[in-house]
Amino acid sequence: MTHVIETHRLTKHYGSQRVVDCLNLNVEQGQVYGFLGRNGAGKSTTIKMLLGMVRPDSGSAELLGEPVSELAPATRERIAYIAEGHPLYNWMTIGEAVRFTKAFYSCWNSELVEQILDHFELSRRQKLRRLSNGQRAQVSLALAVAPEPELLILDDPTLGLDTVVRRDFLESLIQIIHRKGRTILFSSHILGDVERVADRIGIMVDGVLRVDCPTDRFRESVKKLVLSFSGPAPEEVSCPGLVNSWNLGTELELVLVGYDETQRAAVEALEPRNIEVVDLNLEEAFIEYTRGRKRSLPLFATEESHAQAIGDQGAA
Amino acid sequence: MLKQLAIKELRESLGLLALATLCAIGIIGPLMGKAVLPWGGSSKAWYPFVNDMHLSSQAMAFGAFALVLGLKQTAYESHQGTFRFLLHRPLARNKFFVVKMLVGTTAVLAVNAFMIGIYGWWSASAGNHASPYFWSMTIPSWKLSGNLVLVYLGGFLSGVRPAKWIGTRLVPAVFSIVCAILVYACPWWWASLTVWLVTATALLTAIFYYVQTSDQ
Repeated sequence: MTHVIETHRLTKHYGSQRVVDCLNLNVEQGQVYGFLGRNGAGKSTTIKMLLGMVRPDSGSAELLGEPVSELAPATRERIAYIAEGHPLYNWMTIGEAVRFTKAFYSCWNSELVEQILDHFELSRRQKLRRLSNGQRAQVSLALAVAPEPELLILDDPTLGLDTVVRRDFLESLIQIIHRKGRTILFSSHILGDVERVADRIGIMVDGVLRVDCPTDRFRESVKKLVLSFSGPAPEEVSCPGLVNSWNLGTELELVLVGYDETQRAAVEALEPRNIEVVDLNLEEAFIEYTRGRKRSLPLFATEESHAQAIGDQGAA
Repeated sequence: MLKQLAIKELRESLGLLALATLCAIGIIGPLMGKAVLPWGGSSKAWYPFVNDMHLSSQAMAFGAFALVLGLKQTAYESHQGTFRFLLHRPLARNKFFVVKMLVGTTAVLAVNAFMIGIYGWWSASAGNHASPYFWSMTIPSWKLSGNLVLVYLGGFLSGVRPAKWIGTRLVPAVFSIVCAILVYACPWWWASLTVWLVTATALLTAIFYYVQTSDQ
């Protein structure tokens, strides 16, 4: 598989704080990659480093096989980026923004732009400053996809949009880009969006890529166990893959990654009266996982290469 | 694409340009004996381009314009987040800033030329004042215009250089103003030119360095 995005030990500090920590991220061609993490986890900084907006302190990154520090204009033509908050020149009309952006590209699908503007009922004469957040997102989308990019990088594109606009935005995005086998990397806080569109997810926790696996695999791997005891529940619990535990008197709640026979045996050794295994949706799994004990969180990935990559991070 | 970029820069500078043009009219109007503002005075007592009255006004008004324009083209765009819309486009990053600086420098020189041109034309026209006039008398004004380009570059560098507003943000602007004064005060043309060239080179080198290395 060709890696459209590839980073190797990418690191960035702001002052004494390490915001991205030895990141090894690989996104394959045709993938829709959901890039998740809580506020300040390092998602936006990573995206800015990928686009050359922020210089890494160490490590390297490649987009479409070229180092990001030396991306040729011809390669940049194949990459689209929608920045967080949809920054646009407010004094422009939509038509002026289209004309301005078009001037940078040799390939420009005017028909597609018209279709998108029509679909969202946007007039070319509307001033950008008068648009709602949702409409700005729609204009950003039209401008991003018009050059027919091979890679689309979106930094929290649905932030601040209402549910209906968000759904419409994402569905349009998927229809326009993914059906043509293009690659999308997008960061988001809205797990429902990610669950709907992403083939694979990466979760950043304090600058470290803790999870890099198919979306379904993550959801299925994180389980909540509710153990009921006849007497007081044990205070200390030790179990492989344990993310978090709560002692609720006669009950003990455990969040585990990769619940299997080993873990089951470890849990049964606590001699609970009853064990209830609760399946979590992506949002619940994400919340339980990311509010765990941060640096001690179990890392997991499915492929060898990813396991190796994450091993590097653990070592760092 | 460079044309579209230049149009965009010009369009974004129009407000400031209009203000500077009004300032130019406000400066030369009274010197030509025409009260621009109802409460403003006018006098034809000045010998055109002989005393420093117009020079100090030119330096203050267009110096401020040059500084604010340089800051607006950089710090304001960074503050608005529009660099994130612009700088990932398929064009070498230096070129975005070269276009900005060309438009900015042209704007600074244009408002100065407008003022000097109108005042010079009025001075050269017969019957407007009772004193000798030669176009060479405009040289100090042109020299000042060239110096204001340094102030513009200082403002531009202040905007692209990572620094705190309550801190060292305006150090390049102050540096450029000091150098501009030095250039103007220097009695020998070759010394003025040398200081101008060294300052401009230093400012441009720093601008291109920060453009390439600073985070957006």
